[in-house]
Amino acid sequence: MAIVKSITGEAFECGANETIVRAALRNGLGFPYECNSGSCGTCKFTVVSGEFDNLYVGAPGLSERDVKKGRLLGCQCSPVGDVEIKANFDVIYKPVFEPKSQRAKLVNVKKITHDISEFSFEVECGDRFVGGQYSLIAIPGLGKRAYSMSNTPNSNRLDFMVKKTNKNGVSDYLFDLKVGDKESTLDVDGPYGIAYYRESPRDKICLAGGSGLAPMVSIAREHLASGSKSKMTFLMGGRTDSDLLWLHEFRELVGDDDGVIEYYPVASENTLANNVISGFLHEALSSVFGNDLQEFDIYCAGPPALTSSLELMLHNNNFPINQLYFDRYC
Amino acid sequence: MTELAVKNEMIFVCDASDPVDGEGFRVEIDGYPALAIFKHDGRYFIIDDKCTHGNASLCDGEVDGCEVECPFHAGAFNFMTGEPTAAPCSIPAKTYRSKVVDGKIYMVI
Repeated sequence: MAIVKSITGEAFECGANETIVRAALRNGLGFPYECNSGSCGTCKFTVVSGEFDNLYVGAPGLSERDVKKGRLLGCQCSPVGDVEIKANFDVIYKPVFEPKSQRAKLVNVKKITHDISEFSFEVECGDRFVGGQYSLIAIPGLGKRAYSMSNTPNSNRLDFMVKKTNKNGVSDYLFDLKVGDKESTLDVDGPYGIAYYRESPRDKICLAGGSGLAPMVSIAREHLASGSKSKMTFLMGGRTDSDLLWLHEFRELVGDDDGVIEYYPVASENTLANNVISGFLHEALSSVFGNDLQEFDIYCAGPPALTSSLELMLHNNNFPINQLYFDRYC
Repeated sequence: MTELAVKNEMIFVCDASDPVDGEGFRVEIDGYPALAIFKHDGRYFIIDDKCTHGNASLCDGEVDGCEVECPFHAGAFNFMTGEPTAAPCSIPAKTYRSKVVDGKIYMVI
């Protein structure tokens, strides 16, 4: 077990094959991070002394200048012996629940759209997360991949929504699992992510693109369960009508029996339905609300093209950035 | 041509002796977000001081040639163009035209 010390006083233990971001979070420390996959660059730190195993040389999150300055990505390296680092620990990254690894047994698979299914796993501890967070699911031989929970905290269950890609990757591995098989018990490590539901008096907007549906559904379910007086608007985006949920399907999925949440399906390609907005999700947001978004909390999950277009549009409208919640999966 | 570009008004920003090589100089002007002034190769560059990724002041960042690093997550911008040059920054920072007259730096709008 290596000791990681920061020049600002934080110290924590880091096991073998453990990244320092995850070790810091397990110890309740706010090490900056977002994607956990080497892309976003939020977890950069400077090596003061000691040696590291770099698990992803050439990761897109690190520039040439970063390398020259002796920086590494906290989510992509493990210490070899004791080390000292310089990192900007920040309370906004401090975990609500320290992430832990546990065994997860597949107990149900339910079709949500033609290519997205909800996978339910039985776990020992299912109530230590906040809607909008994700876990890292370990697939033998394929590595770990981030999936957001779609349920609300529950005593012994974690649900994930996965999109079938037909690329023989992690997602399709999950689609091949059978309930009851020995191979259908996996290691699940979490919770991670800072784009989780916050109670606030402001009205809320959720933007869900593709399999970004999962964390937004969890946030919607958590909003309903909270009894909050604030309003929620939910925009679901897909390429065509077949990628989308109809209003009654959406209400059934999130458990919105009273129709509290305003729901808009949005198709980027041709739509034949009258009640589907045409265009990209961030454009639909403008067409529904205009530029008058300052008083909202905005949650978003989806492909990088969605999150980056949304971030740019909101930035240009002087939207308060601390009211925008999303995790960059670059 | 935008409405702003044709005005060609000059707004005083600071004395030319205020910014020094290798450091940002922070200026606040009514009606504008906080500005960071950088001196590089004898020229002056004006850019929004606030990082486009988070709530940090670029004037507190390290300068490396024509780039400034954000002190929060070590993302970076080219302060001559505003383009982001290192993750996690992805949105360009706004830049303004500068002009020096009689030892004073003006922003041309």
